[in-house]
Amino acid sequence: MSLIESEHYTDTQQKEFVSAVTTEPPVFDTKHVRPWTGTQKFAFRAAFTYVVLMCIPFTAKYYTYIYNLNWSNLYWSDLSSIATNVSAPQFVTIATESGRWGLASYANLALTLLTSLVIAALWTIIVRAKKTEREEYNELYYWMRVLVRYRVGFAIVAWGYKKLIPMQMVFPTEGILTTSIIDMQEQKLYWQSMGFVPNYQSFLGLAEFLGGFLLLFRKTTALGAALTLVVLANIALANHAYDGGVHISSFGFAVLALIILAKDLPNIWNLLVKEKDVIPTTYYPDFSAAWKKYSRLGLKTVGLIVFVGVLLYMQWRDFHNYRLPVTPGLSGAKGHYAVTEFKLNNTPIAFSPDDSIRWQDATFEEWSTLSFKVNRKEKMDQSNGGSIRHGLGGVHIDIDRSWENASIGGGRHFFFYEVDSVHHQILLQNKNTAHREEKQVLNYTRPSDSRIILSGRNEFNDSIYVVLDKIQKKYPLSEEHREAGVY
Amino acid sequence: MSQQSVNQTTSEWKPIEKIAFRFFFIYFLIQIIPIDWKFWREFFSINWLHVHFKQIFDLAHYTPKFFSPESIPQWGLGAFADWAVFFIVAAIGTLIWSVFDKQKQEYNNLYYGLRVALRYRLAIAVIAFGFIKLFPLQMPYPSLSNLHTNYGDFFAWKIYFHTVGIAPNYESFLGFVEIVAGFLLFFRRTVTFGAGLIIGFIGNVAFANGSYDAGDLVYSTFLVLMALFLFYYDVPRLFRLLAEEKPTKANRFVPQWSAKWVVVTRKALRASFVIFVLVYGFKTYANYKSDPYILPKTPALKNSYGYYNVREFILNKDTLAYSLTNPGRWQDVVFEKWSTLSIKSSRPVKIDVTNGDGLHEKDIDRNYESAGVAGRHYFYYEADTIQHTLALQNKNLNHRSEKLLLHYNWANDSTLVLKGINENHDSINVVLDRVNKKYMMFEGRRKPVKL
Repeated sequence: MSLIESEHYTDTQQKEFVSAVTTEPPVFDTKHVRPWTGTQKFAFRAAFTYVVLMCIPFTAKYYTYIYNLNWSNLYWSDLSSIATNVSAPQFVTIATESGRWGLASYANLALTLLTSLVIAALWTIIVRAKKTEREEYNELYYWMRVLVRYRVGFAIVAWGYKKLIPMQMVFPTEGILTTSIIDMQEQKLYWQSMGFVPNYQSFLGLAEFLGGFLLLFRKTTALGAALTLVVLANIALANHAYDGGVHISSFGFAVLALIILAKDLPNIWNLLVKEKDVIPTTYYPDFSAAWKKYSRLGLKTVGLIVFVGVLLYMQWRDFHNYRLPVTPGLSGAKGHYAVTEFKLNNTPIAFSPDDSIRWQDATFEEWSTLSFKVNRKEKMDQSNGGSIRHGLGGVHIDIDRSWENASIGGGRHFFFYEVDSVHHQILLQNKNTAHREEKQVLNYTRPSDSRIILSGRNEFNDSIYVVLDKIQKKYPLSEEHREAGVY
Repeated sequence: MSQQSVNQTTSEWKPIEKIAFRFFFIYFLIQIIPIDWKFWREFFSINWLHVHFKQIFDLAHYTPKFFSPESIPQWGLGAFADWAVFFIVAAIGTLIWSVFDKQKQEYNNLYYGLRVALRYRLAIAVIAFGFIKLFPLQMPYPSLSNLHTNYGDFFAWKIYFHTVGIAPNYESFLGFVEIVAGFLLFFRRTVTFGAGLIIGFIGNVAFANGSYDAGDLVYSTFLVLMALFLFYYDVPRLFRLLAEEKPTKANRFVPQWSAKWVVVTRKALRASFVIFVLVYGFKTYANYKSDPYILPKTPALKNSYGYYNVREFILNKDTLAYSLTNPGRWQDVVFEKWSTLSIKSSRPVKIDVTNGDGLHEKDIDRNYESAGVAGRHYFYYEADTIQHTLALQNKNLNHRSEKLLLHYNWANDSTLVLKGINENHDSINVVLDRVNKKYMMFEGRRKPVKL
């Protein structure tokens, strides 16, 4: 005989339902529901508190940010950061290595968990002392699930969009193509590796998006939770492996996904592994009253339109204005250049990899960045290469778009420049935030398609004269497939 | 004779289910059962007393090939040409079978047998890949020469491999996941979890293989297909439980095989699986520790490991200035921990388009370090420490005829002077200065650093 396991039905009811296994879903009868055990109630209280602490932002900054937004001129990252800002309250900031990268960085998550347990304990004690303890929390459990499903769902949809519209990782710039991988940070290599396979980046974004999107609908919540759990757990581990820096965020989401999945896991286990018949039971509040029905549908529709529809449109509309600068550079100059001649204060300097002034090579991009390699050290920008203003929104001005220069060592210096085409001058400023004071003013002439001559004042107020000749080369990485060519 | 369990519902399958089953039964079994004679040629050529794990891996990687790999494209729809053959054979077979078996009510036993075949095939496939990631053999840490190569000089697949290779702990974790998935398939009750894990994991691999042109596109898609078929078994149940939220019946079919041949086969299969895991696991571990198969093993010239600037370069009495554009002038040289040295120059490279993952006894043939990468010329060398000579030969099969004979002399601990004949029979005199500096790859991002 098959066994039926159900936590919410009394023994009598289970016997009654033996014959109902193949018929309509049972109506959830609140009068005869089996009461929750003490453990279940405590676990719920803790989970509820944890979810509230994680999903409802407690910083004033979040609300003032939304209040101050220019709603008629929204940028995609404004909407995106409203959705993705899900994190543990900042109880402590531990400014040690472990506190940023290692075990101590989990402190706030751990403290949130601890707070949840303490509050759950107090809650339990108080209701028992006052003799007001409930038999079950079915209704509150439902609303807790609504909170965490929509919060996590919208957040992961927003995360997914950053790859689905492939803007999170970008095609390698000339500066990166001509840098040895030993001069790049591990995290850089990891992120950059998704930049030249936009279809794959979209695929990963689709997987993330799907995990979040499926959470927004009752029928697909369990599937969405399982997908989100697996994808985000992988991201958390990869971030530990490559010191990516977003391990806490991903781990936090993975835990919330597990909390969502927890409702269905026992049933799935019983059905598939123990091969027992299962009667699922879920409480749904009564939405039959017109105002309830329409409020629910209305709110859900608005939420979906804004955080799924409008956000996608905005990301597609604002495609490109994110990691890479947009100010156009010298037209047609993009490429890798050898330095055929270099004069410092009118004295020619021969090419040497040891010289601290003499450029070894140069790169131009489509946008106004010039880089050159020289044997002179810089304080490294070890950020993720976004905009330098962290937090909600972020600001995007070209000189701060540091993806192309962050975590690139080996002596490559990156300068943002403005073109004065009347005087044939470019005014350069070092993009590295630790060396922003370095400025150059160089006149440019372009005697041919492949030669650029720069002369003027360098960052040390010396006069330089530089002849750049473009190196005509195909990069194996730029090929769509392995071409059996000569490189 | 087999009996079905008392709980077994012997209700008739729908006609579409019977036809679909016949199709998939043939479609999968012709790909799982080794009918390609090349498999048996390989199988019998192996000395099983001294089998290398790679030989086991290659057998586990079996798929029948109707078309020779050279005659079909490596990417896009054309790469799946063999599948068209399987499809046609299965379709014809289904037609014939449907005609002869019109009376049949259900195929519960055969379905179970098909699932067993798929479970074992898939488990062996993922475990074979799992162990070579658990012990990072598949994607080894990039060689020093590759590290000193420009990002743009790699094929996409090589960057992908190196991106995993620089995080060996993460690679081990990925291998562990594959092995766990294999074990979940081994136990009947956890098959759906294993299949689900594989759909996600290998699905990702298949898409990456296609996007990075890493190879094995067809094979990884085949694994996903098997996993999807296995997963489908519980989909109606899961849909009813989770989406419809209705009372759901569990699987009833548990075969009660009483025939002797079945009992024996079952025990033999299970024992073979366990032996495979133990033997393969041990051999991959041993290989990783002693002689990672895609890296050369002959030790390098003593104390030579490092990255060298070419301070002086004299070609037939002409001193050539440092240059990024002169193809004859070396820019830098890397000596590996094994007997390879690589030379950076602007002399073009006819790139090695292979994956470099073949099993080779001789170091000169172990070409992983030079596969899929340009920018440098890679030379296998033999050092004569008495005569102080290095005999070099280019590892790239497209440049194999290039040979150099150089006399070496240590001017001091970090300066190596080379004199001799280059690949064009010109005489060269080269002074190499070993560079000691810090690099971004190793400095990390936790502490500020000046580079």
